[in-house]
Amino acid sequence: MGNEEVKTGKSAYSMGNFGKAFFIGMLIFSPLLLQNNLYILQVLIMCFIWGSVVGPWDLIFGYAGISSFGQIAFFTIGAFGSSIFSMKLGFSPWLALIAGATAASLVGVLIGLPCLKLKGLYVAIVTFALHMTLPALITAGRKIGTGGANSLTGIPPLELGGITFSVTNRVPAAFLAMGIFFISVIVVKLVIKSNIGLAFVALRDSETFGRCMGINDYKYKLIVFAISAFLAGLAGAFYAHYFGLISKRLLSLDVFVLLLVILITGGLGKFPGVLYATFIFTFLNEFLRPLEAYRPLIFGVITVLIIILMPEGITELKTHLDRVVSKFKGNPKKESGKATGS
Amino acid sequence: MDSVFYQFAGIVTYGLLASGSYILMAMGLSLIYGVSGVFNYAHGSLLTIGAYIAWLLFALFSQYINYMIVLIIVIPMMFYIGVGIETIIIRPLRRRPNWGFSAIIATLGLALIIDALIFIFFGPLLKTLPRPITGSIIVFGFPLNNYKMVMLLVTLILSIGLGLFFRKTLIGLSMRAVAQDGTGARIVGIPLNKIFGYTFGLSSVLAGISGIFLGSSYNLSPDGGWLFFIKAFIIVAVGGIGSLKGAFYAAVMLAVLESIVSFQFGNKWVMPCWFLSLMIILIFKPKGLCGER
Amino acid sequence: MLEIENINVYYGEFRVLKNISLKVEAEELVAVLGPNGHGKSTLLKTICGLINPESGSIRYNGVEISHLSTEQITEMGLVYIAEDRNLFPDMTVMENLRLGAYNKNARKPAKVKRNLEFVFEFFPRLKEWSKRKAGTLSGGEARMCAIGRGLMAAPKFIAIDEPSLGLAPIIRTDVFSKIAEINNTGTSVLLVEQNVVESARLIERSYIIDDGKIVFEGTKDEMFNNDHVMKVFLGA
Repeated sequence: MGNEEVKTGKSAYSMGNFGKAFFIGMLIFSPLLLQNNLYILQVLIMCFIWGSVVGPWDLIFGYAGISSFGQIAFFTIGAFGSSIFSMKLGFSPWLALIAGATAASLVGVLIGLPCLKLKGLYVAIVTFALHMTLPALITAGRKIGTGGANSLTGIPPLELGGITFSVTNRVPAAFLAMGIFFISVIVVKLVIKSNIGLAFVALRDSETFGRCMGINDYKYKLIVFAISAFLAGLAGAFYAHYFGLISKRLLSLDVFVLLLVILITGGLGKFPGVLYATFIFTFLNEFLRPLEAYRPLIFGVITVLIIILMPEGITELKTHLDRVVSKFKGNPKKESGKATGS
Repeated sequence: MDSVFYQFAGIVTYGLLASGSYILMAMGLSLIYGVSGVFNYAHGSLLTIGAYIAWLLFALFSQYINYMIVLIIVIPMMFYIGVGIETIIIRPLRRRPNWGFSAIIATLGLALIIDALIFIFFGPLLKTLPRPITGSIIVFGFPLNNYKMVMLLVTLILSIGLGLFFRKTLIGLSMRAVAQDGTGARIVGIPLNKIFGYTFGLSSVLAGISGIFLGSSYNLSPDGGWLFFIKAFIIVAVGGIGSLKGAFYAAVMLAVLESIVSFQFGNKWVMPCWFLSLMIILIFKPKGLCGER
Repeated sequence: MLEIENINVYYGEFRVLKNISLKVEAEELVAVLGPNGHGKSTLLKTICGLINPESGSIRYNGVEISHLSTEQITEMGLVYIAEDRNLFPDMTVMENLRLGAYNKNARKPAKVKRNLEFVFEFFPRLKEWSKRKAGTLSGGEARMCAIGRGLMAAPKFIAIDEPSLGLAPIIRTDVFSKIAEINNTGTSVLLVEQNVVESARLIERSYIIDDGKIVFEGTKDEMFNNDHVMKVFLGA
C-alpha cells in the first residue's frame, strides 16, 4: 500500500514550538516595529494579503486535489464586488467586505457545481478561462460600476472608531491585514485537520479506498472551493478598500506568476510552506521592481528552475538538508521503512 | 430583407476568413497536448517568436525577401525551438508523478522568459508586418479581403497536409499512436522521446506560422501572444482535448461567432462570449465537441 | 535464449520481485503462474523494458537488456503483448497492425506484407475487421488484434500476459491453440496465465511466483504431480 511519507517526526531543522512562537510574536508586532518604514510596511501588508489568497490555494490544490487556477479571479471578484457594493449600493465598507467575499464565493460555487464533477483538467480549463476573460468582463461592466477600461477609483476606506485602515494610515491597516491573514490561516488549518481534510488525504493516497469509505468528495470539494473563494475574495475586498483603487491589472500575468511561484515553491500540500514562500517572494518581487523588464525574466527563470530542480518546493530543500545532516550525524540507514512484502 | 441576409453572410464570411490563423494555432496546441500531454503555456509566446522573427527578417532584408522566404526560414527555426523545449525543459520533468502540472508551470516560466527577452531585444513599441497583397474582391456585395483569403487558403492546404501526414506517414501514425496509448506505443517499439520532440517541433511550427499570419493582421507586441493563447486554449477545450478535427471545427465556429458578436454587440463583448461558449460547451458536452478523453 | 538472474524490481519503496531467476530456452513455451498481484505482470513488463530492475541481470541471446528501452528490445525480436492489450483505440485494426511492424527489423515493406498475410491467415477474422476502429473490438477480438500486432513485429520471443483473461470459453481455447501454433513455428513463448487448467497442454515448463518470489520451478508433469503446489498456489 502507499507507504508515502508518514513522517511525523521532527527533522533536524524543525523549528519546534518555541521557535514558532517567537516567529509569530515577531510577526504580530511587526507593524509597530516598521511604523517608520512605510514602504516595507506596505510590502508586509501585501504579504498578508497574498498569504490569505495562497493559503487557501494550497488547500484546494495541494490537499483537495482540485486543479484550480481561480484564486486570483476570486480575489478580483471580491475586490470589484466589494467596491461596487460600497460605491454603487451604498453599503458600509465593512459590510461590503463581507458581501464582496460572498460574491466571490458564490461565483466559486457556480463554477464548481458543474466542474468539480469532471476530471481535474476541466477545473483547470474553466478557472483559467475565468481568469483570462475576467478583464474583458470588467471592461464590459462599466455600467455596474467596474470602472470599465480604466481603474476604479474612489473606493471608500474601512473605518472604525475614527481609525482609517487605508494606504494613508498603514499601521492600523497592517494589523487589519494581519487579522485577515490569521483568519485565513486558521480556517485553512481547521479544514486540513477536520474530517474533510482527512478525507482528502485518504482520497489522495488511495482514491478507490476512499470512495469505498463513503467519502463524498464532490460535496467536500465544493465546500472547500467555496471557502477558498471566500477567503480570496475577502483579501481582495480588503485590498480594494485599502488602496482605494483597483483595476483589471490585478489579473495580469505579473500577479499570476508571483502567486504561482509562491505556490510551487511553498510546496503543494505542505502547508504552511506556502506562507514562508509568500513572504520571501513578495519581498523579492518588490526589490526586483527597479529592474523592470528583467523582473519577469528573473521570475521566469526562477519558476523553471524551481519546477525542474525542486518540484516539491521549499520543503524538499528541507528534506535534502535533513538527509545530509542525519548522514553527518552518522545514521547509516537509508530512507524510511519499506513495506515488508505481501 | 436582402440586405440583412447579405450583411449576415458578410459577417459570417468575415469570420470564416479570420479563422485561418485560429485554426493553425489551435491545432498546434491541441497536438502538443494530445500527443505529449503537455499543456503548453508558452504556446502564445511561440506565436510571438514567429512573428518577431518575420519582422526582423523584413527589417533587415526588406526588398530581398518575401513571405515565402520568411516561412522557409521560420519553419525550421520554430521546429528546432520546439524540439529544444521538449528536450531541455519537459523531458526532465516526465520522470515524475504529476509531471503534467510541472509542465504547465515550466512552460509558463518559459513564456515569461520569452516575452521578457523579446521585450528587451525588440522594445515595447508596436510593430507591423508588411501586407503584400492588398485589395479585396466583392462577393455578393461585400468585400472579401484578398490577403485574408490567401491566408485561409494556405491554412486549408496546411490542414489537408497535416491530415495526410497523420494518416499516411509513419511518424504521423506514431504520433497518433502515442496520443492514444503511450504504453502501446512503447510496446510496438515507438521511441517516445523522439516522437515527443517532433511533436513539439511541429506544434511550434504551427504556432510560428499563425504568429506570422496574425502578426500581419494585427500589430506585434511582446505580450501580444497571450490573447491568442487564450483563444487557442478555449478553441481546444471546446473542440475537445486531443482532437485535431475538433480544434479545426471549433476554430471556425468560434471565429464566426466572434465576428457576429463583434459586429452586433461591439468589441468588448467578444471575450465574454468566448468564455460563455466555453462554459456552455463544458456543461452540455464536457468532453468538447469531438473529444474522447 | 532468455536468462534472468536475481532481479529485484521495486514499485516505489515496495519490492515487487525478489531475486527472481528464470530461463527460457529457444523455442520453449514456459509459463509463469501464481496468484494475482504477486508480480507476474511486473516480471513481463520488466523483461520488455517498460520497467527497470533495481538489480540483477536480464540477458537475451547473451545480450544484457535490463536497462535497454522497449524500443531497443523490440528491435531485438523480443515482443510483449500486454494484459491490457494497449491497442490504439481510434486507429483501425489495419493501422494497429501496421504499427506493430514499427521496429526497424519488421519495417521493410516486403516483410510487412508477408507478416500481414501471415497474421491474416492466422486470424482470418482480423482481415474482416481491418477497417474497424480498434476501440470498437470486443474483448476476444481485441486480444486477437493485440496478438496479431505483436506478430507483426517479427518476434523470435513473445511475452504474453494473461491472454485468456475475460474471454469466453470457446475463444479461450482458440487463443491458446493459436499460441501453441506460434510456439510451434519456432517462436519462444513466455506465458503469464491464471488459467492453469486450460493452458496446461501448452506448457512445457513452468515457474510459480508467489509474493514476488519463485516458489516452484519444473516441468509440467512435475507441477501437476505436486499436490501441495497445485493446492496452495494454483488453487486447484
